[in-house]
Amino acid sequence: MRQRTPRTLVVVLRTTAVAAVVSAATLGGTEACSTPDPTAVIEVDAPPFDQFKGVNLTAGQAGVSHLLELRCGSLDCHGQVGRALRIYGQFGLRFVDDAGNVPGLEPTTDTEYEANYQAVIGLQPDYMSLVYEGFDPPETLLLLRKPLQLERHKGGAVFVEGDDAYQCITSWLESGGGDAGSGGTDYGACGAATAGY
Amino acid sequence: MRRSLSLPLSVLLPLVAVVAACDTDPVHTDAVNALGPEVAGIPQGEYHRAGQPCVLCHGPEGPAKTQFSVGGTVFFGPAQTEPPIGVGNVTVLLEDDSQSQFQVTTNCVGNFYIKPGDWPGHPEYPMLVTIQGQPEGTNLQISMQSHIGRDGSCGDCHQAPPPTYNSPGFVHLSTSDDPNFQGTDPNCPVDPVPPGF
Repeated sequence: MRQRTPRTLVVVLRTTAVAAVVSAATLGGTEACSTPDPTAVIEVDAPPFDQFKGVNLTAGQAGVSHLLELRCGSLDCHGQVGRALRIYGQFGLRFVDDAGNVPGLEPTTDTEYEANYQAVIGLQPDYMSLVYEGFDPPETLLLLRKPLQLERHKGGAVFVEGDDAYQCITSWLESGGGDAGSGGTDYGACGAATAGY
Repeated sequence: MRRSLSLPLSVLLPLVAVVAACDTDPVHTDAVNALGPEVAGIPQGEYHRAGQPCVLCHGPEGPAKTQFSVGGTVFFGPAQTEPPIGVGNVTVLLEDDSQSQFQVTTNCVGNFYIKPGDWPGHPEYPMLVTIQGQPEGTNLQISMQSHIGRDGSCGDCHQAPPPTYNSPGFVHLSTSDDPNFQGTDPNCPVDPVPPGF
């Protein structure tokens, strides 16, 4: 007849086993959660900043940032600090720094252009690279999926495929480093998409 | 022995109704509570809480019984050198994304509101706004520089002056304050200067 293990011993063994597993998991977790290297740099192959900001613009033209500022960046939408796609600009949220700018007055600053660029690129950095390098279509990005309402968007359908806003953003995403106006960002479409806003 | 815990429907249904009517969103509850209590001498109604975000309480989540789709307060000037003072008989012109237009007039403390049934199915955001009036005989008109993305409360973005990085200050009709302006209606039942100023 098989001898039964005393009940207390079973409890002790089970407790010890559980403690060992928990300890191992804790050690592993601690190892996995070690402080990240603050000097580490993750490179993202992304569309050009200068065309996002818009340079050498003529009448009726605009950069991508201007489109996002006017169409997306109102204070009750993406002009809020808590948003992942957080947009600063002259007519919406202002970057808090020594300038002390307020909505509606001073033009968009370089700091705000850079912050907008980082927000757009940093939203989905890996996908951004894949799109920019031509591996994935622009509609892969939430930057387009949301306003096209391919995914739920609280602000509704803001762009329509093929319209000026769509053309502005996709031309920048697919610019591949080309100059604006010649395979690069369609500044005219960006300008047209903001007319009346 | 098995005991039945069933409650009569006459008890259960009202209980469910009460629970369902409660505000279960702690963020909304906190926002409502942050507005503070009613001020003595200003009864609940069309003249109360000038400058506050109307639709926060007068929206689907309550707690106000009357629902608004849009609501706000128009003040005379930017309140940089004088206290804010609500201005009556100002026409608030709204145009939404479907080009549908609606206009409403402010009362003597500057408050205005639109109930969902007043402008059925609208506004379809984004929406543009212009205000115009003759509080001192001269026609004044000002249009909001950006569109409204989705928030029916003017006061969510247009918070008490001075302007900050995320608020342009109260909605105001004149670009400058006038110490001689004392309100549009001497018989207004409520002081057009909001409490606290």
